[in-house]
Amino acid sequence: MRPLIRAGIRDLIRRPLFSGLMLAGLTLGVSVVTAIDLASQSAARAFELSTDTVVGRATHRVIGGPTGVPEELYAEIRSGSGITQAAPVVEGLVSVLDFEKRPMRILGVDLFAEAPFRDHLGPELAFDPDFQQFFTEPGMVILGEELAAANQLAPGTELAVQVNDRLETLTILGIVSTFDSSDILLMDIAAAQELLGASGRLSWIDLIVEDPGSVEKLRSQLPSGLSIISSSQQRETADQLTSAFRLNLTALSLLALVVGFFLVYNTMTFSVLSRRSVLGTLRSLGVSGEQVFAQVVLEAALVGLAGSLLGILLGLLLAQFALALVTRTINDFYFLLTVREVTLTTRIAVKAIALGVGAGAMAAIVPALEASRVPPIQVLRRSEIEEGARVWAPRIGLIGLVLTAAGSALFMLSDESLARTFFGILVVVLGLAMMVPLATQIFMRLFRPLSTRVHWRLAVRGVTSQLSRGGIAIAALMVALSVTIGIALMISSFRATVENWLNITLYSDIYVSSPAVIGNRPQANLSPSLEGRLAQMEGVATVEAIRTVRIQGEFGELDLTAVDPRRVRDAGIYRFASGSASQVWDRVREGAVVISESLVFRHGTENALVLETDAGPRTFEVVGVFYDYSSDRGTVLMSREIYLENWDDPALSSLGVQALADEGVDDLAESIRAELAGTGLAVQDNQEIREEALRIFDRTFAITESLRILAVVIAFVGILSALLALQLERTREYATLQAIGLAPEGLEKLTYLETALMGLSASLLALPVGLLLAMILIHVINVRSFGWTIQLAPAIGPFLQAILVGVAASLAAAVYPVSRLRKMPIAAALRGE
Amino acid sequence: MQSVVRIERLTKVYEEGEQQRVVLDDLSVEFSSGQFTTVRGRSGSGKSTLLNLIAGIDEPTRGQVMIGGRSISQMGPRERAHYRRDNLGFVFQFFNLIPTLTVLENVSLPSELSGRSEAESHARAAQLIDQVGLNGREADFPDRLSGGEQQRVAIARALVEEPVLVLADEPTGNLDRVTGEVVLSMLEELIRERGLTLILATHSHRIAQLADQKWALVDGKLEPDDETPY
Repeated sequence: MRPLIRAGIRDLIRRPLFSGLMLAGLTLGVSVVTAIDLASQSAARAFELSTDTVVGRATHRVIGGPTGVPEELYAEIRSGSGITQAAPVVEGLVSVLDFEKRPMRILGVDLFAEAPFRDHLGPELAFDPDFQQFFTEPGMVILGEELAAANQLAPGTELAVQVNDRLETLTILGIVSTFDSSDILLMDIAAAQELLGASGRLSWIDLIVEDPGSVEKLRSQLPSGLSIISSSQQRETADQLTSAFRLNLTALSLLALVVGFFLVYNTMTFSVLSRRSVLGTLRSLGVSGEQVFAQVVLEAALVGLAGSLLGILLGLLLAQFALALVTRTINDFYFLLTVREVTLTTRIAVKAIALGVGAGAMAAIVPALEASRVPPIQVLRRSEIEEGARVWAPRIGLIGLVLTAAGSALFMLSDESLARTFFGILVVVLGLAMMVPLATQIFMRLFRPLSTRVHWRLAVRGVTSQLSRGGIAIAALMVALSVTIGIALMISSFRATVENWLNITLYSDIYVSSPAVIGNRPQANLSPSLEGRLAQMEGVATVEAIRTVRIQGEFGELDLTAVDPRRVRDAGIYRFASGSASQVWDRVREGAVVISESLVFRHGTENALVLETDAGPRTFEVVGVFYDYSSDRGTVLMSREIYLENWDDPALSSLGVQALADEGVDDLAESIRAELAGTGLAVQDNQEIREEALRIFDRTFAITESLRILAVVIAFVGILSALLALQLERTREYATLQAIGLAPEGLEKLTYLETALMGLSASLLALPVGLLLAMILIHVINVRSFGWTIQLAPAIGPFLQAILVGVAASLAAAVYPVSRLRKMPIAAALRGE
Repeated sequence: MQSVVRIERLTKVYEEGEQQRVVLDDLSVEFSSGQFTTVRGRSGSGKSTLLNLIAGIDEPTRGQVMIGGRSISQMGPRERAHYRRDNLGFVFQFFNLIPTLTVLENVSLPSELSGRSEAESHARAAQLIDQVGLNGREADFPDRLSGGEQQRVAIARALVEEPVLVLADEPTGNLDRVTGEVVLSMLEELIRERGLTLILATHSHRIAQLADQKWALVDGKLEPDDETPY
């Protein structure tokens, strides 16, 4: 085998252009998958570190309602429950004005109870004589060295922060190496309570309990409205929340690899064809078909290995970019996360190599089979292959049809499993790709009567007669273009749906809120007196007080928004409502709730919902399901009066202000800004909020857009390599055409026409497939991933764009082959040199 | 007799590394209209180079090929292509058929390139296919044909546009002796009945005997073929 491998490797080296293109396709494919893996894993790791910093070695946590846990409970647990290891924690968000209003987490702890839980302080700080200021001075914070280094912070530096509706100053007391998280500011518990306006309240109490009996005993003793959850439950929640988002990204990145796979198939087929006489000679020298097969597969696997290694390097670079996009989305939609660096783990590296080598080797199987069947000495007949391709096109098309049907059945029947849904879609895409050669044949047959000019006729004939090669390139381009159409249509439909939804839901003229917003929800506790203060202002018609909190329900954590039910919401926000809009709000006033469709999707609840109130669990009747695209966690909408009856939490999260009919909104917003000067609160009019929401929307899909563009780039490399392969293979043919009188520009025209026809076929075939993919993404993937209903918004743009990209990419890919043809010496080419 | 091609002081030198190899050395010759001329020479003597220069698919180092009073080397690539399309038929040793086109499509190609409609081109091609005895094989691809049949397709393709000049480069070089003779006599017959000019490169003494005018290419020089074996 060794001489065979040597010959194969030398062949790859002697064709740097083709080997390079094959390598480029694999490298790009692997790099995209690796980049997404790295970004996703780094985000998960950062979250883990952040959670570890907060959770530490705690095994359980006592939690309460929106206002947390009463302070006295801590003393009761330590003295009366038999649990000795307990630590109180106060947590809250501030936005640091010096870091462009970046949200950070205040973690207030009792250092005397901390030791068994968290290693916050290194010995160097604990023995510092100035350290006592941590307990005696307000606003003293300790932070991690990574955060300090990134922002050039030193002890003594002051940080201006926005806390609820106040501006405060914090002072850095110390910098420690024991903090892995970059988004935490550590404070003494009393100072934190004062800062966050949570006197007498704790966010939670951490426990270390080995004995399950003690947990149950404490659970039974807890006052109503409080509960115990395990730390693992808490970690899982975050993982579950982002898993659909991460799986969607992985699936998209795999699409890039699929396109790369086509590329390898194409190049290896070319490589086999161009070496058929050598392979025939080898066979005549006694090399078996199996050995030839193994050699071709091994060659592709070697290129796959090289592609994987380069892909990992490129992936590391791309990951920096992807990471920023992924963490921004997690911050916008889920929770606070700061992560700056990507770390290559063995698992990701092994996966990348396995994918690259596997894709390379698998793509080479068919060409390798073709090579192993080369009879000794006799040359593989090109016409037989093409004739075979023409005969096989309908059969392969039929197999494609069966695969499409099987894939459709798979994703339609697997309602729960997102992974199976994606696999089903992959099978559908593969099935549709297999129908491409047949569809191209049909297209060309339709084009033929239109072809009165000789070049046109030759081009149409050329595309049909090169189906064994061109068909793969057309299929690869079709897949990439249909993905482009599918994603673009999905994004534009989603955007149109969100825009429409914003029009319906943003009913106030002006909104007042704290800038510390995470996961689309204002986190601050604003003073209830603000409502009265704003209502008295000139030009204000009404003020709606809004409270947004995270509470415990029967299915775990969910978002609750308490609003004024006197304001009847537009009927358009309901997916389902029992009765008219005003009837629904009458019932909400009486104590019923309206829930978001994500909540229905996540937990299947439709009629009633149990929520953990201050007085213990209470069942609320559900009278409607509303569309909500701001979160996929699930939201409950209830009357603020009912909320106040059940939870002792008069604080506000935001306020909606309606201007008097004759009052200018801009002027009123200015007056409110003046009224609230010094509070740091954000006063935004309806238009600003809408624009901000759409900005968040656009950046959420920035990574999807990037993946879409990458798929087209890979397809472009694919079509280029296919064309080069075709041109090289047909050099003698082109020389003959010139020898019998085809002018050089005629040959160029013919090449451009052929490639344009290939691009056009791919684009036209991509139109229905793209629409189908968009429908699957909108009606299946989005619903199964996030529970959102999106209306398909018909748009002509993505289709026209795909045709343009398809034809332009094909024509651009023909530029280099044409320039080669221009320099081709006819006499030498005729001799087959 | 009117000359179709006039060659004036034609020289072709190949650079082979640091060496120079003179393949054609200051040749001057005329090929007359309606004549069957052979250029005999051994392998590598420059026969194919001479035909390629006459066809304008190779560039001379010095000298010129005059066709109808015009020098080919002064024509641009496009003009040369049109000259080939309108005046020349080429028969190659290795047939050089387009493997992905059928017999009918291969033969009709020059007609289509001349701007004839597909129907007209096919009608002309079908007639010639019939004349070369391949009736019924129109839809076959070249690789399905024997060597002799492929060369017959190549002859049909060369003649479909009734060219002034037919160049044949070792047309029987890739065929067995019997097949070669059949093909050659077919070519000769078709050429003669149409009154076309044929320049045929060969190494065969026997083929040269059929010609009206015989040249031998020895050491880059053309000399009358005295039928000396070499």
